[in-house]
Amino acid sequence: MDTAAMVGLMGLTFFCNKCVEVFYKFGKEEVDSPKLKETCKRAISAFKSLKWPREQDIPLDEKVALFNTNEEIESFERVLKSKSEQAEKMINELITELSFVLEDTHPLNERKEVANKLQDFFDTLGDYSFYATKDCLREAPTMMGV
Amino acid sequence: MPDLDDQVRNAGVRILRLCKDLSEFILSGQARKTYLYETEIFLKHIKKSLKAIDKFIRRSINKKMAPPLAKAKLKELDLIREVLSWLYTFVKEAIDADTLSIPYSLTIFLNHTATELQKPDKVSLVVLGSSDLMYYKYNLTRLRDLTKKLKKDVIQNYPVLPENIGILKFPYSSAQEALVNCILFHEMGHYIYEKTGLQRDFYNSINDNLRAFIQDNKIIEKLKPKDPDLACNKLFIYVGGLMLSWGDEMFADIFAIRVLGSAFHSACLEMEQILSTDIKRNKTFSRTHPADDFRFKVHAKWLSDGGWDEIIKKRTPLIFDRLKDCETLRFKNKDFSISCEPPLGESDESKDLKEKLHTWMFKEFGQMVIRIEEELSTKLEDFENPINDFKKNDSLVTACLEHGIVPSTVYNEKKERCHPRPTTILNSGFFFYLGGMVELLKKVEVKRGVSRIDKRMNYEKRLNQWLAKAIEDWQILLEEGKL
Repeated sequence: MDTAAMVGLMGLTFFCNKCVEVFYKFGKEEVDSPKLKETCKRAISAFKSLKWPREQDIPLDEKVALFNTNEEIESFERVLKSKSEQAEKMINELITELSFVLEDTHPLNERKEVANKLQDFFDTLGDYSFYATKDCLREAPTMMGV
Repeated sequence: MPDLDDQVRNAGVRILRLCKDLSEFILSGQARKTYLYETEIFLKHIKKSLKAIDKFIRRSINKKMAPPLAKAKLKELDLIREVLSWLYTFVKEAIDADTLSIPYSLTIFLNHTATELQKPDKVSLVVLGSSDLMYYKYNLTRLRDLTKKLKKDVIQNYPVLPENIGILKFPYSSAQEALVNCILFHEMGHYIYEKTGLQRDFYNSINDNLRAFIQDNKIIEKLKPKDPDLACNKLFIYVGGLMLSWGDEMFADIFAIRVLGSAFHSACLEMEQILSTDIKRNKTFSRTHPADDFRFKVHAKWLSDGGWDEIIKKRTPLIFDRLKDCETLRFKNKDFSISCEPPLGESDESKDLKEKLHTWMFKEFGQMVIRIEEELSTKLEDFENPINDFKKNDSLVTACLEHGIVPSTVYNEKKERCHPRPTTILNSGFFFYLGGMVELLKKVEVKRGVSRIDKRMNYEKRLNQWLAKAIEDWQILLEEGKL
């Protein structure tokens, strides 16, 4: 077990939880919040970086923010497989959906509908990364060692 | 099954109790023991973390939540518990690391050296005893990232781990050692490396060059992965992961040789003997470390550049011979191999590609080492070569040690007082340990019933204590402005 992998997976779960909260509140409260914008932007950066590191002009901190270990990418891949979608197509779709929610010129009800779908996706991704963290812990009870 | 709100409350209360227990444990430790300034700073950070978690949980468990949010909160609480279990280990190690349980004087000298090098930045190297028979520089980058993520996504007032804190670990049984703990200079090198920005440069260049390698060798066309982007990404993680780790190790090695000198190389050999490394591993690069013989090849070059060659040849000829052997090894002669399997699949085609990839990685790594050497040459341009003080004081320190005298203040032929630098104390001490102990042992009587082996072990231990004391004295003199 790799300490970095576990830290990464924990961070991914925290981020997914944040997404669930932000999209849920957007659906309920019908307001744009700075949190919504920031969260969508972070997720877009992460999905773009998945396609190929440095392909996009993204700062390194953003680029490594979510998917920077094999375990995190595998978590993500498992979610995609569970949705029976081809990875590349699904990533593009996610980026489009996040950009749609981000853009406040679109009708609110449509944005809420997409946000609801994204909430569901991040809930699933959060579950996968959460259980992957548990697997890591089972494999190695201690987090020490570099 | 309790409803989600109750589950959140139950989990929260359990965590609160853990936070309370940990805080009390720290307080009771601090009441009984004395710690170095750096350890105190670290304990303060842990206490702040516990306080922030405590406050967050108390707020969370008092709210009524919609099911999707309660489910997310439960996951968060569970992970916070994991973060706490991590802190739990650190708390025990930090509380155990009082001034009597760590190489105290060496730790102060390490912090002194690092502060000199990193001016004007502050440095706090926390030295903790590890339950492994191994030295580490704990990789705090990811933990620091995690604290940032925790702050950003979960607990707004969670304290981000300060940038200047570095954690070095030594085998807890070696607290009274001065010689083998010279490896801590290598671990300090990892800390310095983290601050250089070299890793980012390497990350970028590996990425660019790997893309060109993949295209030139038509890897995607040959392997036909289902998802080319993800396959490339995995290959990047493999190549980048290995090469960045190797680069980190080489930087730390060269740094230690340049800052400390020959004693670091001797400490590596000493550690190698403790771990009884098998011969095969010496030429094989692992997931985290370059092959020992490659490292020694680079040691040989830097020891030679630093002016240590003749001294090593004269004082420890066997070590000299091994260094010269390692110097002849070459990547192009296939003297080295890599023990890991790249994510290229199992086909015949992939075997050939694996060979090509590993050859390419060695070529790139050779360039990385050159870049590291350049960076260190520039960074340490004004840092005095430890050999200068060694040449002045070595014979005087050795004479003291032969008579069982702590070599803090030595007298030259003109009867002038000299205070050898800690680097000299460690280098002379190591040469003495490797080849001069007989002179000391001749001068001391064996008590009845004490075997020769026990006598030697006893005086080896004493030697380490004398050296540690001499380093401490040098620091006292420095603080008092008497150097």
